Amino acid sequence: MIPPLDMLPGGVLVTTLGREVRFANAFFRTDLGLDDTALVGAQIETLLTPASRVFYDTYLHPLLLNEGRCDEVQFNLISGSGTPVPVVACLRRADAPETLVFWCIMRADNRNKMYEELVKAQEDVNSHARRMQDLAATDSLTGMPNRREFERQARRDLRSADRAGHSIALLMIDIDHFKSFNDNHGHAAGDEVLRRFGATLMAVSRKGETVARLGGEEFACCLYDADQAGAAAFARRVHDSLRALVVEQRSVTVSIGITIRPAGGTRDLVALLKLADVALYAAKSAGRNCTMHHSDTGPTPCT
Amino acid sequence: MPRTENNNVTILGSGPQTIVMAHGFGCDQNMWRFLTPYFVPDHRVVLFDYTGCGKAATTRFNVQKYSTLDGYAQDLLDVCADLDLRDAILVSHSVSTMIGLVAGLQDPSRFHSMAMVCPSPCLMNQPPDYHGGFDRADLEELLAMMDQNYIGWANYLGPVVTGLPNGTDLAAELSGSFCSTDPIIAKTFARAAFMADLRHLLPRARHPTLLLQSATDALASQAVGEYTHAHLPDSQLAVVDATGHCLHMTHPAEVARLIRAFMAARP
Repeated sequence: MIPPLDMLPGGVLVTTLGREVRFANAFFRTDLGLDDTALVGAQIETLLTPASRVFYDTYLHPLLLNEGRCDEVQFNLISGSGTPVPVVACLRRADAPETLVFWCIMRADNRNKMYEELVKAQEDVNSHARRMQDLAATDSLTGMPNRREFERQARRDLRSADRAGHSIALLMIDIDHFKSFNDNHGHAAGDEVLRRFGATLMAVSRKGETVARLGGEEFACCLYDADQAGAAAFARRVHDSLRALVVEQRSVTVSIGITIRPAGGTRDLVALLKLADVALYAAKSAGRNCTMHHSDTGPTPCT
Repeated sequence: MPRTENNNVTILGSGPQTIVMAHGFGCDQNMWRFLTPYFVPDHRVVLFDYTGCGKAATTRFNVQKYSTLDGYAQDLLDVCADLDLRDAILVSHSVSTMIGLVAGLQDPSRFHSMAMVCPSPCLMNQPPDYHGGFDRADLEELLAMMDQNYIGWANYLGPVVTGLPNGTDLAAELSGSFCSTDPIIAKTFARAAFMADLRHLLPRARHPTLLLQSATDALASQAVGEYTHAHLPDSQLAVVDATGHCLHMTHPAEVARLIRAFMAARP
């Protein structure tokens, strides 16, 4: 009678912890086209693809040493003709009378196809989710973060500044006489102003400075670890960089309102934006193309 | 919060000399449990997990930072900084040998010397002159295998199908198992390890280094060991008559003996 182990529709393998094959059943001949008698004495590496050797060395062998077993692991054997054959295996270490590893192996060709499809589906969903996330966070006209994203980042900065004991500066920026661009030169010219101002604002912002378009002609900045002097310097950079911005032969200027939350301050984002907005209106009233700073005594000009 | 809490630092034993052990790709600090008994009686031994591995916090993981070995070197330096280590001996395994090399160049004062277990400066073949052992197709196959095994282990298709970030329940379930991590983290580490080519840094190394080479190692062949020895100044090569990539687990007595002899010769 044919030995029962050779009748099994799966592989049975016995190896030493030193990776030497002690026994292989007929599966290795019938399914993998390997000479099962020549396998005895060979190293387990000869049965594995290069990737599976890495997997054996970095996962299976440490698991066998540490826990004495590996359950339901999938890797690729290499057939007599050199093609990879996906298999699922369970491995057990037995320590007496001698330390040996017993492998129970099943082919996993179909299962492998399913996994490949699952992984691909996961990647598709992930990349789709990332794209949706980007879209949901971005202002489509300027490519800047939108209001939702600004609020998320600014709240994160506020929390982080709380922990680290840093101040935060919030700026509201409004393009001067924006309505007249639209009225006199059409909406395309208005869009052009928004786009180019957005690009200018992004170009002047550095690490730790979040800039965003909140909507309409209104923009906002959140400066991490910035005090009044730092925020005023940022506002100056914005005013200065606009000297080069001309649309429809008209120069573009902005009004800026600043508020500072000092280290240890307790105002939340909504309150801070409101104060920056008060300062912004003060800048408009003061003749536009300037920056006002909100303090507890009221708006004061920023030089 | 001390950054070390993120890296699950374990301190064993005490002594005038501190030894930091940095685990390789695949598992976590548990890998050192066979070797630590040889040093704990008369040394302070510091173990840790890289961000996303073992029981280290995963919250600070970001793909960009950890897509090159620099991110992991920063973990190692964070651990050193939090413990205020100077002149420690770094015992590193596999990809950690190169992480240690990067960390040693960035902040040399942290380390006195290094013992590298199964090092390879570059796992990929760089034809025509350098044979690291692997091609890009091998890397892709390994990454796919990691996905397949994660699905198998997790026995939990929800997050895989929906692509949602892994919930804490799932992470907790997996963290009980040695060597299993979030597949994104594990794949990022695998990719960083495989794409790294630090051959150009070898000549710049400043620390005396012991290279512990396995006679037969699919990940780091003897030729790779000899390459590393030839290009790393002040290095000595010790070949252990063994098969496999985990000398510190399979031959801990021999590895400990070689490291102790190296330490005695380099006080």
